[in-house]
Amino acid sequence: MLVFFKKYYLLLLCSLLWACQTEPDEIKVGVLHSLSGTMAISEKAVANATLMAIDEINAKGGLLGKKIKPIVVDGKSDWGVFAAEADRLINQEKVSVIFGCWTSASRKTVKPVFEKNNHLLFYPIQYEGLEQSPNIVYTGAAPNQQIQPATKWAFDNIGKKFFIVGSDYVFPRTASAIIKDMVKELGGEVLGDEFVLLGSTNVKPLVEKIIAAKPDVIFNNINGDSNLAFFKELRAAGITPDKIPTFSFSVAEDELRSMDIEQMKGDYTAWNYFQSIDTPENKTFVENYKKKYGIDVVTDDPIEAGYISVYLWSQAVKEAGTDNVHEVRKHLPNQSFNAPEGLVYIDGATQHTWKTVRIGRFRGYGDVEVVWSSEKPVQPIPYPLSRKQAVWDKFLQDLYNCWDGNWAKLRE
Amino acid sequence: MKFLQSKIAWQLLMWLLVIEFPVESLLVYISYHNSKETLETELTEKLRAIATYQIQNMNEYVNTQLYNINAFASTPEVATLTQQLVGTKDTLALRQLIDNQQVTFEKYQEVFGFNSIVLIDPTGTICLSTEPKLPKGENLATGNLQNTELSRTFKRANTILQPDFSDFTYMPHSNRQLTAFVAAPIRNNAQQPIGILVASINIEKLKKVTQNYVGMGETGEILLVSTVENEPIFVLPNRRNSITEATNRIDMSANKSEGIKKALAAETGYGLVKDYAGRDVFAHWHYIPALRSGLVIKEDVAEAFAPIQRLRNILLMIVGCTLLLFVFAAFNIAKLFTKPIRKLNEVTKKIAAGDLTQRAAIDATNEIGELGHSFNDMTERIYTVQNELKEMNANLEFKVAERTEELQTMIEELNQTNEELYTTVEFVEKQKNELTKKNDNIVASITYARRIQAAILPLHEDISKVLKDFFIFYKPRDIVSGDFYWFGELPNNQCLIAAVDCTGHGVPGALMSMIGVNLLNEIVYLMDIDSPELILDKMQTEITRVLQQSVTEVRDGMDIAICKIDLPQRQVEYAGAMNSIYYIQNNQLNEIKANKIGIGGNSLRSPQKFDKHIIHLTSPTMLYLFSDGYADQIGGISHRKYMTKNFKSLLLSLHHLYPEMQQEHLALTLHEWMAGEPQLDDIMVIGVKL
Repeated sequence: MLVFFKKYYLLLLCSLLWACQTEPDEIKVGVLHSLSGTMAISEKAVANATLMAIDEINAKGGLLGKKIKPIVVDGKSDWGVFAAEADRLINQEKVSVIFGCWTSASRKTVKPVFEKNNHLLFYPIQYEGLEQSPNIVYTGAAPNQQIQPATKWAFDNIGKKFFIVGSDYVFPRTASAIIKDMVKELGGEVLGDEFVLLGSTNVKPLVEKIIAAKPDVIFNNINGDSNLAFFKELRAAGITPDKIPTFSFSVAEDELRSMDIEQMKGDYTAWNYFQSIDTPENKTFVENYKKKYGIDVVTDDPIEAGYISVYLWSQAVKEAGTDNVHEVRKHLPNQSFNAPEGLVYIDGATQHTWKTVRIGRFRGYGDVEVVWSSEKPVQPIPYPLSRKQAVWDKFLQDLYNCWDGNWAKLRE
Repeated sequence: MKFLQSKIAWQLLMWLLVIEFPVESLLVYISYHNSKETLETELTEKLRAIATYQIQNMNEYVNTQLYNINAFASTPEVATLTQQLVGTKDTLALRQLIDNQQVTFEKYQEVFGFNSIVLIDPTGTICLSTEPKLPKGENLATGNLQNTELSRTFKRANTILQPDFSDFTYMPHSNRQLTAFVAAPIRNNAQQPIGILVASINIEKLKKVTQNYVGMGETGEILLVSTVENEPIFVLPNRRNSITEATNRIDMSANKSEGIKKALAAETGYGLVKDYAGRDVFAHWHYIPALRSGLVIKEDVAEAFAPIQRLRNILLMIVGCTLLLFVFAAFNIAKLFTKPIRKLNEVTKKIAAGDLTQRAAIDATNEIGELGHSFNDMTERIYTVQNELKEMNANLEFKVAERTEELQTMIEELNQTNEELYTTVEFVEKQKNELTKKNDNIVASITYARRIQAAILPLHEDISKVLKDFFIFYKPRDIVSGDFYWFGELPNNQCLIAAVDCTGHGVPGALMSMIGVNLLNEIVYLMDIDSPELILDKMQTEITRVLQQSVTEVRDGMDIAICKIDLPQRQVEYAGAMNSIYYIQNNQLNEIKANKIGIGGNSLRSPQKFDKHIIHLTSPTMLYLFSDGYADQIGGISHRKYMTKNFKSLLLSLHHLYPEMQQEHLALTLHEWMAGEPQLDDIMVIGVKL
């Protein structure tokens, strides 16, 4: 009888165990940033922040009971490579989402890949707007969350005469157009609007024109190494923040590290996030980031946006109950998160992010003092209301055509 | 309560429980669990749908308010008024203008459903207000209102230059009058921002949008919560508690307001939590970014899970009833078996005690009933047999007594006979002793006769003077033998050798052998005859003469095989009377048959001549002379004669061995063949290696 009971309960146990069968235990995500080439200096940090968010979620048990497995790919600062790798990540690696890109050129090149495959990209960088895609979540600032408030604030607090400079590619060109529209609306004046080739250090002509124009404020959209040469030239020409302050839209804490901090003190910038934000969430974020990547590293807006992108996506996955791209996309609208910058949430209509607008002034030690804050997230408006959408689309197309099918001017 | 003592019943119950209970428990668990999960899923979906609907309502409400304020701010009247008001000195005309426009503003305020409207210039000064608590001339950047939500909303709208919906806040200078502000930039014809229009919303309107409890049972609630002046409050009245502006604070202590806490922390989720009153509720919490507020849709667990509680109770009832049913079934089923078994047991005990008249009254129609019937039949049979045995026993006793008497008589007779026998035995014993004595004398005589017979046989030493390699296997049946061998030495290295088988064996045979030896000696040495056939011829006549066979009835005789061996000439002459010889050359056994005439015993016939055979010793030869005793010996498994063919085979297998070895093998083979059988005749085999 004992043998019978043993066999009976063994059979029962086997039946129960057979019922408890398991599924695969990881969710693959793509991290597509330039880890080599010109953009590596900026993008590596964003990739690191993305990976840190993934590690944090995995440490808390993962997502839907599975570990998130990042597949990190080097875009090599080459837009063509970005597009090819995006396609490979989607179709071969079968990732559930991709976090990546920095330059608008890389984003515009990969956009068709994501739309063709009906996949999902989280783009973490402030940009020129004039774009909307159901396959991209824009977690960086739209023009009305950075450039436009900065223009109004500068108009109200610094002066009414503007001089605009920038690198010659789509973001600075568009930013310049937006600023000019706004200054005009406000009744101000744009005294100059000059561009240099991306990466060029030939900034002397620019500075000379600034000196000649005598603006109240300089709006700077120069990107990358060119900024070093620009500020050096500016200071050498005697233009200091107390005389003519500069508002830079591509210089954040990370870029400051390679610049003369003392020379930048007193100039302005506009972002949604600064490392100096005094909230418990931000303190924890900065601490963890330094612990992971070194005491000397800094956090800035793109880094923070790379970090929050992962959390916003993971929340949508949890709500959807699956990492299936199409289901996740249905749960993106109004997805909110208590980010280091404060509350952020995804606008269902535009798939951009409500973000707090902040205007800062560079202090010593490379950090930023917040001089103005919207104190709550501002609704993103990708297409500035100064022109109709069709007009903006034509503006972009004209730039593209003018640059022979590129999103930057490649040569003089 | 006898049935409770039934072991079968308890065993049956245990079996039923052990087998069925885990399965039923599992089914109940799965049923309950699945139903609970299904209910939870349905509940979650219901609450999520309600939440989605409410959030949509609220977002629409916010968008409507933003749209309204923007629309109002975009009207030419507002733009014109603002241009007139901003930066204009305070004059009577201006005041009149403001008073006139106030009416207009109040009208729009009613149309749009705002509580109040305020027009603010870019410096933050209130130019026009329908709200007494927000007086004209007050500056939001520098005055008493500079740290209010109104001020922050103004600053935001003034810099961002797009419509803005503020956080929930208390109207300045009010007693916790809850409101929120919507603001929009005012632009001139050139789209230049010239002021900000701010309206205070009517919370009551929001209540109308959200307070719809259809599908939420009796306990369902929709809670809109927000943090105002660092204090979590209910923005809208609760369904179950009357909330006033004075009492709209939320109890955020431990084990309370768990869903509210999560919603205010910008989390979205659902589950079982404690509500603001510490009740167990199933809630869906959500954050509404547009209002910077939390939304909690909840229902009391007791109500929400009432169906599952009912199911649980039903399942438990089913389990309980099943258990009772099992107990009932177990004991009743057991009764079917135990009752007849008990009856059977009682009857068995009585039968065991000796009462074979007992029968089991079992009326079951199953195997137990069959067992009962079989038992009764068996008992009946035993009873019958017992009675028969008793009868037989009685008869037996009588017979035994009778028989004992008979035996007694027989014993007496036997005793008498025994005495007579004893006398006879004494006589016989006496006779036996005498006979034994006489027999001993006879045996002694015969044994002595053997010595004499042995003396007349040729000595092996004498034979070996001529024949180097030979053996003589000589085995008489009795003390003395009818078989004998004779050897005669001749000149020139020749000799004669004979194997003779006299009629009979024992004493008669021995006497004949004496005659035979004597005759052979006379014929060879006195008559000087050395040819084997002539010797036999002579033997024929001499035996007849010696035994007077012509006149007496003595018909004894002998069978002879005689050979003359001429070693120099390498040949052997042979003649045989009834006795053949074998010789083996080159592994081939050859037989020379004797004449079919015996020596003696046929005196009435005229003497026959014997044939002479010559064997040339061209190769090593083994010569065998023998009597018929070996081949005629009975033995083996089948108790038959050894037979001539076997005898030949044996000789052929042994012929290559030394003569001594051949003799040993012949003896061993014979011993094994006989295996206890008595020897029938005298046995003799002579082997000579030439």
